[in-house]
Amino acid sequence: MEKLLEIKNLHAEVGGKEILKGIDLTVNYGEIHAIMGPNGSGKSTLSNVLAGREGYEVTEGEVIYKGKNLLELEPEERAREGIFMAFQYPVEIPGVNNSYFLKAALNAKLKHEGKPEIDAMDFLTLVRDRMKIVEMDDKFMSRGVNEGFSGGEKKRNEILQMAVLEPTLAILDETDSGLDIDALRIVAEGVNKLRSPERSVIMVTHYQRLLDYIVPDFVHVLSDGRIIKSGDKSLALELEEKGYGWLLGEDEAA
Amino acid sequence: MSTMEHYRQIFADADMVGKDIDWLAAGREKALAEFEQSGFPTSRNEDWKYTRVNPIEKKAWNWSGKTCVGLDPEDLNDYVFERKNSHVLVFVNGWFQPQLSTKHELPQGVTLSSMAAQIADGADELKPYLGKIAQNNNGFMALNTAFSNDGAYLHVAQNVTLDKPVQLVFIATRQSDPVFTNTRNLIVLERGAQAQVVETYGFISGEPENFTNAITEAVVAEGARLYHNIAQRESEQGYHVSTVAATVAKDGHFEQNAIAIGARLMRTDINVALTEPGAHATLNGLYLPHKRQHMDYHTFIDHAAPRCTSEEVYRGVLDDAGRGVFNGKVLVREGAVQTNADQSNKNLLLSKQAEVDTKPQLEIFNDDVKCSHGATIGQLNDLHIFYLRSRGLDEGQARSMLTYAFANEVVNRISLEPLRDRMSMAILDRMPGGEELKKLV
Ligand SMILES: Nc1ncnc2c1ncn2[C@@H]1O[C@H](COP(=O)(O)OP(=O)(O)OP(=O)(O)O)[C@@H](O)[C@H]1O
Ligand SMILES: [Mg+2]
Repeated sequence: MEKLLEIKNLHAEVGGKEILKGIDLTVNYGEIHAIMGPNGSGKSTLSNVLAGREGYEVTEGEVIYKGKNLLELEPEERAREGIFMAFQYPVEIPGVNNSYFLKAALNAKLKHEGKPEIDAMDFLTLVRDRMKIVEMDDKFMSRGVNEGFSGGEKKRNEILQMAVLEPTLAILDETDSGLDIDALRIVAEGVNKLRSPERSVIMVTHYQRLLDYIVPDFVHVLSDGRIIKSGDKSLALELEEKGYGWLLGEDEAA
Repeated sequence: MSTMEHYRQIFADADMVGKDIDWLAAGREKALAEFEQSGFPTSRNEDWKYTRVNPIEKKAWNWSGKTCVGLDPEDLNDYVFERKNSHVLVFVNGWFQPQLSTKHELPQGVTLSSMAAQIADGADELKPYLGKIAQNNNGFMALNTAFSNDGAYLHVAQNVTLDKPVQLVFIATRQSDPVFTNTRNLIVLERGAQAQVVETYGFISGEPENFTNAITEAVVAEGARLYHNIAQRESEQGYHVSTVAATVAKDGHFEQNAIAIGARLMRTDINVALTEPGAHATLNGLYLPHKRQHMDYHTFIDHAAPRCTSEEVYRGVLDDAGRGVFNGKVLVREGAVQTNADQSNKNLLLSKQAEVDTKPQLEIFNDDVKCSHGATIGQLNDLHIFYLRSRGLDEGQARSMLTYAFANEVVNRISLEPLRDRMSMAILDRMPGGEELKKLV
């Protein structure tokens, strides 16, 4: 199978503190990886490093994406190359219109791919279609980005953006947190619609629930900046049952 | 010749209208004497601390006589948002230009004319108002009163609504000598009347080094509603000093949007007196100095009666070595119980050299009031920039989108839609990355 993403011995600091302490992870095209792990273990840090957020300093290791060094790309270049991170806490950006922001994002990507920009009509058709997937109302598009959105609406808006931008690698950082049962199903459907042999997903989650809807190929447990255990979907069930204690003990013993 | 001799000289020579009207001539003479006495304001004056007017003072400004201008109405398309549904009065270098203006039929009870024409035909109608709402608080105002000659006069009778907006367009052109204009506008809304007025200050042909010294007086009688807008789009070589003075009577409503884009140096004072119970004022403002522009807004809301309300939203976007000043004074007098006054001033600094001085000034003389105010100075939010970039927008695009959003907080408050669109475009025109944004919005 062809590799989409290869993380090798990744160390990263935030605010001068080492958070990621040697991550190794390979994601092939078409795979879905779930990352679980206790609060503060570094899941969001990993997501942010992959998305290129400022202040997340890589001190060691490498990340190869589509055969290229990901770490030397600007965040927007990563996005145009097909990386999409759904934020754990999507920010509200008052006054930046949801619709024209998304259009600008899509056009940036199309331009990068050497394709013509999308016109207003086609864009509208596309967005309407994708909004159906996440069951979002038209009125959200004329509002500011996440402005005054409820927690669940923000998460849905992330998935809408994902559905429009059709990333090659989607990194979903706890997109399931704070969703009601219906919204969870809706979000999961959005992800499943995107599923294809050309795309991969990294899902950060705390709950087995999401994995009932989006069945992962692999489950990894991140603890204190390292992946301490990898397995298939049954690992998530085991974690649900036993918690992280037994793993952490195992780690210490090792 | 000294500065004062210079102005005394041109005062004698100027072809002002109404020189033979005693009360008017006396008022001008008195104002000139006041100006000679006070001179231009200096930074020793607390109100002028941050705004030095030496560049204005140093120049010997000349009177622009009534001349023919070789312009067509189309030349003004940048400043006139449309002519079909609004009355357009155009002034060039201080003088009304009927051939560039568009006046539709007016509802019964509405007078809309140039000040010069009104002085010539019926000065007495102006007498109860001129100089009564705006006192000559400083040298500029005195100078304006001394040389006031043309401008716009709008009078709306009781319970009449002027449905079409009035666009007043003041244009400066390039002249061999530096020229000043002392525009004087008067707006009177009788009881229950309504009108929308847009004052636009602009330029044509090169970047003139002009000096606009304007005063607008507005009377909003009981239950009347005035929607007043100022688009300051002067030449960046020019100077703009202006005062708007308004009085609002019982349950009257004064709403204003002031947008500053042009001029090398701008100082605008907005003084609103809420004189009777239930009067309301909304003051919105946006200043966008870049390069070496200096923009100063001084607002003053005088809560002089019970149950009056005021709401003020001012935003500044400062780029390059741009300089901004916001001074928002709210006075709540002793008897003005149940006052409700909100003020907010936020500033966005886009460069290291940009600077702003913001000063909310609340003076409250009774306990039964609800007042709030807040002033902030900050930069674009890094997380916002990252969010947009993480979706594929480059940094410049992200910054211009966020800056535009910030400015739009004020622009979106403009109720007159074609003006709102115009202002959005005018802002994008001078913003880095604005051209690209235009295609999206
Ligand atoms: N700016 C910072 N300075 C210092 N420490 C930081 C900073 N940002 C994050 N951290 C720390 O990094 C650690 C990892 O945080 P991260 O957000 O990656 O955890 P997480 O696994 O996503 O947790 P959760 O499940 O709660 O979302 C935490 O201990 C956090 O406090
Ligand atoms: Mg997290």
